[in-house]
Parts: sequence; C-alpha cells; structure tokens
Amino acid sequence: MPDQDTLQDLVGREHAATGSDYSAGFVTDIEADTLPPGLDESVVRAISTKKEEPAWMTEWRLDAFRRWQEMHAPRWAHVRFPDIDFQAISYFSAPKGDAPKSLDEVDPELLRTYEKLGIPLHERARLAGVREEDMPEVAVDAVFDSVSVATTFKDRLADAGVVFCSMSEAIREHPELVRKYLGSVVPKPDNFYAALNSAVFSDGSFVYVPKHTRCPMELSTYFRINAENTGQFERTLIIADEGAYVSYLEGCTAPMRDENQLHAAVVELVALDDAEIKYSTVQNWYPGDDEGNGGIYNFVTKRGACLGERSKISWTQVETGSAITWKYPSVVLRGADSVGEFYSVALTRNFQQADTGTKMTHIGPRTKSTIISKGISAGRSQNSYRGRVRMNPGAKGARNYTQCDSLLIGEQCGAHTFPYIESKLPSAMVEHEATTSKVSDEQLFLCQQRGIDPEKAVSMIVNGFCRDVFRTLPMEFAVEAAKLLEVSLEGAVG
Amino acid sequence: MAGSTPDEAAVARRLLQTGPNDYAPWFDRNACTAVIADQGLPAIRSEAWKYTNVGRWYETVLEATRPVHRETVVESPEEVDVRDFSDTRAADLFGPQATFDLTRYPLAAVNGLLLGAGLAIRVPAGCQASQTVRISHLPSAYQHCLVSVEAGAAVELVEEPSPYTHRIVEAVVHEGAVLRHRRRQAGASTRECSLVAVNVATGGRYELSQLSLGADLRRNDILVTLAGDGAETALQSAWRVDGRAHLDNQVAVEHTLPGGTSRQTYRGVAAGRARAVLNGRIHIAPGAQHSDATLSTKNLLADATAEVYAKPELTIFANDVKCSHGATVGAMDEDAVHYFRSRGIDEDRARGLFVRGFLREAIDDLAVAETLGVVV
Repeated sequence: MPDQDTLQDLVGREHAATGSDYSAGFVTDIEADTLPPGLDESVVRAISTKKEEPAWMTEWRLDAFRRWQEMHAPRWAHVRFPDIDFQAISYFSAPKGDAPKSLDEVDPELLRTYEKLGIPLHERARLAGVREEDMPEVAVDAVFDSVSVATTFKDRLADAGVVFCSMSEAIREHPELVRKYLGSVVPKPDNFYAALNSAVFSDGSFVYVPKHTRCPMELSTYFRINAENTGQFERTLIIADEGAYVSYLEGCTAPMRDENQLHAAVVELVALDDAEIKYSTVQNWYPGDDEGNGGIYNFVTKRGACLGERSKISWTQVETGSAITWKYPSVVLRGADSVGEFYSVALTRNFQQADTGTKMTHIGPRTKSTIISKGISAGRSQNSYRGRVRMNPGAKGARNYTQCDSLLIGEQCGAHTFPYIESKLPSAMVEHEATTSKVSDEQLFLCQQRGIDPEKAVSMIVNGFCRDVFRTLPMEFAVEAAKLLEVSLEGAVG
Repeated sequence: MAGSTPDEAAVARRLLQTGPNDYAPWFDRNACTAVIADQGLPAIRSEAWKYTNVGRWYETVLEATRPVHRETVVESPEEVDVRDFSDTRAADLFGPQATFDLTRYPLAAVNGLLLGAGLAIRVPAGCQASQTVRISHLPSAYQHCLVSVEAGAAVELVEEPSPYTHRIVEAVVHEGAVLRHRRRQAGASTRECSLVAVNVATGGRYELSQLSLGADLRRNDILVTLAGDGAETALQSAWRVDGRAHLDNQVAVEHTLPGGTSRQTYRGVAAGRARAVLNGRIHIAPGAQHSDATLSTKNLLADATAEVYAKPELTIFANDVKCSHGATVGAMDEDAVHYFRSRGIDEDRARGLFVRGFLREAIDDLAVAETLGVVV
C-alpha cells in the first residue's frame, strides 16, 4: 500500500511497547543541539542568531520578551496546575547538523521517526504509488522540536505560486510579507503565552496563497516534541490573498515523559477579500499517564482575521491529547459579510483538563459566525467550553449561532460551559444553546440487545454526538478522527 | 472611571480601622472582619466584576450620608414571628453565622461590619401564613433579613422598592416548606448591591419573582442552594433598563444533593445608554445525580447605544443529569411590529405590546410590573 498520511498513521494506532494506548509516545535517540534551560535576553538573542535572523526580527523578539516580563500568567481558566518554572525550560532544541539541503540529507533516524508516525516525507514514495490518482495529495511541513526538518511538494506548490515553507525560511525569503503580517492578528502583548512565543518561537509554518489561487492540495504541518525539558514554541502564519483558498491540517505528538512539557504556539490567519482558510487540527499531544503524571501543557493562541469582504475562516479541531489544554481559536470578523466558523470536539479522560472554545468578534456589517462545540468528559477529567461572542457597534445585521453540548461518561468527571455574550447593537442577533447529557442506559441497552458490545456502543454514540463536527473535516481525516476517538475511549466505559 | 474611584484596598483599610458598629452585638462580625482582612475586597475589573464598576459602589460606601428611611416599615401576619436584630431573642432564632460562604460574597462582609438594620423572620412549622410579609423600609443603608420557613410552612415575602447601599436576604426553606419571594426594584439614582442567599431542604420550594428597573448601579447576587432530594426552585426575573441605568444580575443555582429541580427564566429590555448584565450559573456538585436544571435568558436591545452582556454558565460534576441553557440577544421582530401596524395599531403602541409580550414570560404579576414601569 502506498504511503499515505492519514490521521490513523499520524496517531499510530498500534500499541507501543509500554502497553500504553498512547502509541506515539516513543523517544527518538537523536543528537540534538539544545540550549541550556533558562530564559533571559541572551537566550532570545541566541535563538535569533541560531536562526540567522535579520536585526529587525531580533528586535521584534526582544520587544516581545520585555513585554512578557511585565505580564502575569492567566488564572481565569477552569484548570489547575502548579506554577510553571520558566527558567527550568530549554527554549531551543534542534536535531544536530547543518540544515539539510534536500530530503536525502535528512538524518535517517529522523526520517525513521516520521515513518514510525506514518508521515511520508519522501515525495518519491507517493509519486511511485500505485493508486496515486485515488489519493488526495498533502504537502507536509515537519517540525521536530524547534526546527522545521522538511517541507514536501514545494515545487508543485511553487508552480501554483503558493509559498509553503518554514517560518525561518519565510523570514529570509519573504521578509516583506512576514513584517507586514507577523503579529498583526495576535499582537506581541496579546496574552502571557503569546508574548512568550513571540520572544522565543523557534519555527513553524508559513503559507501564502496568492490572489485568485486555489491551493492545489491540502497543506499539513506535523509537530513533534522529542527532547527532554524543552518547550515547543512554534509560530504559524497563513495568508490567503484576495479570492484564494487553502485548507490546512495540523497534527502533533510527543514522547511519554513523567514531567510536564510546555507547548505555547501562536497561529495567525489572514483572509483578504473573498479568501477562505480552512484550518483543521488534530491535537494528540501526550496526555499524561492514567494517574495524571506528565503530559503536555498546551497553551495556544490561535486567531484568524477576516480582513476582507466576504472572506471566511473556519476552524475545526479534534482535541484528544494534552494534560492541560488552554486554547481558543478565534475569528475577528472585520470585513463586511465575512464568515467565521468554529467546530470542535474535545475529549478528556483520566486526569486531563481542557478549557477550550472560541472568540467571535463581529466588527463588520452582516458578519456571520457559527460555533458548534462537543465536549466529552470521561474518567476524572474536567472539560470546559469557554467562548465569547461580541457584537461591536459597527456589526449591523450580524448573526451568531452557538451550540455547545457536553457528554459525561462516568461519575467523577466534570463538564462546564462558560459562554460570554456581549452585544452592543440591536440589529445583531446572538443565539446560544447548551445541553449536558450522558450516554443513557437505554441507548446502551438497545445496542447490546442487537449484539453490540458496550465499548463499541459507546463509541458509536459518541461518534453520532460528534457528527456535526466530523463532517467539516476533510473526508479522509474525518474517518480517522472517529477512529482516534474510539481509541481514546477504550477503557473509559464501565 | 476606575481611576477616580477609591480602590478596594483603601476601602478595606478604612473598614478595618473603623471596625463593626454596635448594633445587634450578638451578630457575628468576626467572620466579616476576617474575610476583608484575609482576602480583601473585589478589585475593579476582577472577573466577578467584569461588567460593573465596583469602585463606584465603594464610593457610595465611603460617602457619609445616604438616603435611607428613619423607621422600619414592615407588615406581617400575627402567626409569623418578626423581630428586629436589636431584640436579643432574634439570636435564638438563628445562629450568629451566615448560612452561605462569606468568602464568595465579600460585599456581604462589608454589610456585616456596617449593619444598621436587621430583621429575623420565622414562619413556624406547618404554618400557612395568611398574609404576605411585606418589607417596605428599613432604617439603615446596610440591611439584613433572615428568614426561616420551618418544615411544612409556607409564606410570601415581598420586598418593596426602597433605597439601600447593601441588603442581604438570607433564607432557609426547611423540609417541605415553600417560600415565595417577590422583589420589586424601582428605578433609582443610587448605587445598590444586594445578596439573596437561600438554602432549600428536601421537598422544599423557593420561588423568586424579581422585577427591576436599573439604578445608577444595581447589582443583585442571588445564590440558591438545593440541598435535599426533591428540592425545587423557580427563578424568574424581568427587567427594563433605560437612560444610563446599570443592572447586573449574578445568579447561581447550586444542586448539592441528588434530585433537585431548578428553572430559571430571564427576560430583559435594554434601551437608551443602559447596560444589562446577566450571569446565570447552574452548578451540579459531585454526586448530585438526577438533577434537572434549565435556564433561559432572552434580551432585547432597543437602542444602538444600549449594551447587553449575558453569560449562562454550566458547571457539571455528575453524569446522570439533565441540564440546559439558552440565551439570545437581538432586536425587536420588525415583522411582528408590521403585523400590529397593519391592524391599525400605531408604532409606539405596537412596540409597547411587543415588549409586553416578550417580558410577560418572566412576569407573574402584570399589575405590579405596570405600576413599577417594567412594562408600559
């Protein structure tokens, strides 16, 4: 069977040697160039130097760092964890050696890691595929700890005028675009973790789709934290110029470690007139063990700006990993008639805590937003939806519809909803609905009567519960997202 | 503006320096002092005061004179025992400690230290009060009403519009008892905060019907704890805020034991430059299985300068429960107005009827709502 980066492969469903059901939890033994733990101006400068950045970028980072030093970590989320010692984290780790000029020069160990995860970095493999025409093509940018190791299909994309490269490369090759848009959607001092990211971000993906261009294939970034005691701070910037369309998928995993590791990313999306960006995330960072030890702290700022008229930004997220999730993919609807969407499935189990949702800020007239959030809590986990819909005075005739449903599995978990509705003009219409339910005994009984075992039955019911969100994922990922949920639900019943 | 209002630390310092007054010495102020000394007062722009500038209320606290009535004006039937806190026997009816968590409501601690008027109301077991207990005026800006509805008893309690700086209504609804609580809040140029804290035991029922016009600043904290199997509560509130009025309702219904039922219905109209806030929380504690809770809030924005902030919250820690909430904010349905007009009803009246019908869902006594001016 030809190589394909389906989600199934992304998350690797075969059980790892440890017997845990987190199969992506292996560590790759690779030589790394890692900065010692600690954070001060010299570390920020060192990162900038390592990445051979121009002076303006170094200054940009230093400004962010100075602002960060004056900020405090937010405490309003419905999550509990000990204070993070930011001096105990290493802010840069790169696989050793010079940057590879082509895939042939990439460290074979690294390639094996991606192969283990099912991420094909060899375009050759795909091109030799037997049923190539049946398969959707996906260009991949793979980020390993602090650096981007490879980006595939660059030539094909370049033919269409699409720029898809690592952020480091974009700073070198497309400084005018980076300077114009970096920090324009998520300003440096936006929040504590965004400021930290602005100071120390190491890599990430950059996408520019030119005017009236439909990106010829799905774009995908795959993030992997490997080194110990490091944080990952990637930065993604996607710009869809007038009339452009791009669909982007992001996946992530990390090894199983007893310590908590910090992931503080920033994603900025910019959609100009008539442009559309579809951003799908499958978040499968290591969630910690059954007792709640270890796992990733996923404190991420994601925001899109619908700057242009009739532009559209759609976020879809399937969140199953991370010990703690603090994440609110948002849309600022500035252009007239622009559209924002947020579809989310968040599943928590064991001791996971998630505080996730969205912010829809309506500024332009006749802007529309839709929020569909499905939270599933199991074990002793806590799962919160937190959202804000704001109708500013200029948003005449704007509309919002929000639905957030929670499903509880077991007696010791929690499901919470915190929607903020703020309206300043009469012609805007905001509607919000929320429900909480459980997998009922009747439903289970009905399934069991028909010979379906309880675990399978719960999985079916949960799948039905999430249907509204899965149908917004690119098709091949939707199927696999359902499978990922199934795997995550194993052992959650009974 | 936050800059020109006193900060919470200055107010706390002043209160602690002055210490409690000497009214009703049996009433325990140690807990109040401790709360203010240990945790301080809410900061301006803290999460609980996101949409209401608590600094403006602090300003009122620090002012020397406030409009209050000189006398207690309360009606009650004979069979209901009503005593002033200055009557030491009031202490026998209730313990000196609050039945709610003072650390959650630090303004109640301010009330405790400055308390100048208290009423203890007891409805004896089995007593079906023949008349309403009506609180018209109390002779202090800081007021506290303790209500105990004993097992199987029933009573209606009415709060008539009257100025205060802080009022607490603290009630215990015992097994199988019923408390019908009607609050009427007229428009006012004053800054008023209040706390209603009610505990409902097994088979008990608490009903709240609140009609409000805004004030320069009005904040109502309402906490209903369903602490028994089959305990029920129905809360409804209708408001109309206009001009520069500000109304902030912060409601929490907490199901702490299994089998409770709660219904919350809110309807509000905001016009002029007014601001209306509703935070409505349904909390299901671990183990409170078979809880059934709903909340519905609908808001009409009548003018482009008015603001509405709605936050219906759910915090659920038990799986076998039915909980839902719904919230809407929008304008008047112009099609409905057109329908009225096509039948010869003029525009003003059409809009008036529309608002009336909209608010009606949360009003159980239309005559009172009309007198107050909540519906016109």
